[in-house]
Amino acid sequence: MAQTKKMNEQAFAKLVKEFHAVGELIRARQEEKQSIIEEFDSERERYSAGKISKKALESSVAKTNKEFLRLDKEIRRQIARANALGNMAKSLASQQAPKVFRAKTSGIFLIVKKVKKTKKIGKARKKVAQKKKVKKKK
Amino acid sequence: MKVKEVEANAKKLDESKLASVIKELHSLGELIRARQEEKQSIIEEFNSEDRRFLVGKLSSRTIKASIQKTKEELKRLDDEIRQTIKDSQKKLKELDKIISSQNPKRFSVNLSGIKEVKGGKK
Repeated sequence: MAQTKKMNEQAFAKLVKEFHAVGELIRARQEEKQSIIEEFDSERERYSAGKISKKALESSVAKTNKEFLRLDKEIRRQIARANALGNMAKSLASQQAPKVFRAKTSGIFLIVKKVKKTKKIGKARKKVAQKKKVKKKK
Repeated sequence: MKVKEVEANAKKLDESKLASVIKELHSLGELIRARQEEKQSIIEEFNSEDRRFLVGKLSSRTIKASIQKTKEELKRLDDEIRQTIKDSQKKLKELDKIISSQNPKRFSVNLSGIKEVKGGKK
């Protein structure tokens, strides 16, 4: 019996869910970064007011720079993951292009379009073919 | 590499926009599956009518009308599935755009404060 394509709903839902999780993770890392910025700002204010030493602020600078690097790296990694998930979802959706059926008195038939096969010629073969043509002309 | 002194603010992903696009994408997936199931039930319905025609329970005229109706329905569903696939790809592009615009701003900290770094190696 003729069967239509059936999308794997679970797989699609899982991808969409993961996308959501990645989005939340990116937002969380962005907020973490913002809080580090604010924390450093307050330390600098304390340094300006003479409440902490220059050495303490210097160590805070190193720590903050390190944290920024870590968070930026993590955000970029999540963006790459989201792109990969998007590609998977795109391919899953485009696989659902419908099969075409035709109803007749003798039953339902699947229509398959014939695809013309074209020979692929590699660069090396093309060169050989061109040389042969030149020889023939001579 | 340019260093620009600005009020430091990290980028913030618009979570509600992301959630709404994801929700739409989810419903588009469900719509595709629903149309595929509708198509299957139409095929099964036609098969049973065809069987009834073969055993002489239906007239040739009736089966012809059924063929016409089935063809129209199948075409409508195929068009709708194709459109939904297109819509879901549009939504995925939108998601891509939202996510890739979150590429982090780079900040550099020194004793004088926080500065945004533009260009250079990531």
